[in-house]
Amino acid sequence: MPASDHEHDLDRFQPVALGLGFLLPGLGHAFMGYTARGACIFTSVAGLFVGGLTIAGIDAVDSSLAVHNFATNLYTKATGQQHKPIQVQDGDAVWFLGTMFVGPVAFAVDYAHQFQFKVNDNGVLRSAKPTEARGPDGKPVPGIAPNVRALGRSGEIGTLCCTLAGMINLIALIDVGYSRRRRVAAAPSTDSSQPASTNPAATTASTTTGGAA
Amino acid sequence: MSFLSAISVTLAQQTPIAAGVARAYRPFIDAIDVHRWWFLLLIPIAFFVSLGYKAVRMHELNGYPRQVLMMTVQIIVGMVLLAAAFYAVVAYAHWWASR
Repeated sequence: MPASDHEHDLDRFQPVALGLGFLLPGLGHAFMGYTARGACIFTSVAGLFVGGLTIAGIDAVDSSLAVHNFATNLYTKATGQQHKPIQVQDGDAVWFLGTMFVGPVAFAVDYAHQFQFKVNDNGVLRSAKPTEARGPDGKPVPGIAPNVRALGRSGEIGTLCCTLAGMINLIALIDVGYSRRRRVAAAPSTDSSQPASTNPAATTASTTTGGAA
Repeated sequence: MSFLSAISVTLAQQTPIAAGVARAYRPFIDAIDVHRWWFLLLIPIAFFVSLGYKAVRMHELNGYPRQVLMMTVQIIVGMVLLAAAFYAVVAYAHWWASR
């Protein structure tokens, strides 16, 4: 891991930092030398994602097999082998478009939700009813549901938390991948004899606006 | 009334407790009942969003905690004002429709 920013060409696209940031929120910033910033981003994303799972349970992450079926279609087109997509009855595929930016953990939770908690009702994957258990082959059998479903406010708030986590990490990924901060800091200041980092005007602006400019 | 009663009975029969199969809450798997205090969740959500947003947007992290706190308060106050505004609009519409 580099000790300072000067070890990178900071004006260029940073694919490694982008990839690391996707693998673990904040890791891309840490790789670029912004360790404290990375820790703050990790706390934010992890707090929202874990909070969402705590509120809505595993129901907070539900892609309706959109990712699985998309991959299946790609595989079918690439190899020519026919694989019938699995039919699903419920889910929040649109919300998962935001949640997926949390990284691999979101895909892992979604996979577990689809294939460990949902039941296969005659070829259709759906959430189990409260009095249905998941049989060994995934078929619904009488018993206790694998999970208590998130309904009403629980589902809304939990799903919102997880999607916000993904959106925050998306902002962080764009920030670390394109090094916007460094380009702004390195831009010519009003006083050309003074570096941007020591320009009082630039420092004041970044402090008072919180860097929103 | 009979329709609401039918819905209530149906929902009650669907719960594990009614079926005699109650189970303890398991974190990250089961949902919790937040229907009485869901609006309080705005506070941690606003805080965590501010935490991430300010970490990305600030050029220097000097004064970061203060900025996070300010943004959290701004979000909460903004949401409360929005709620009050919408309440006023709905109340006015209700009054206008019923006069």
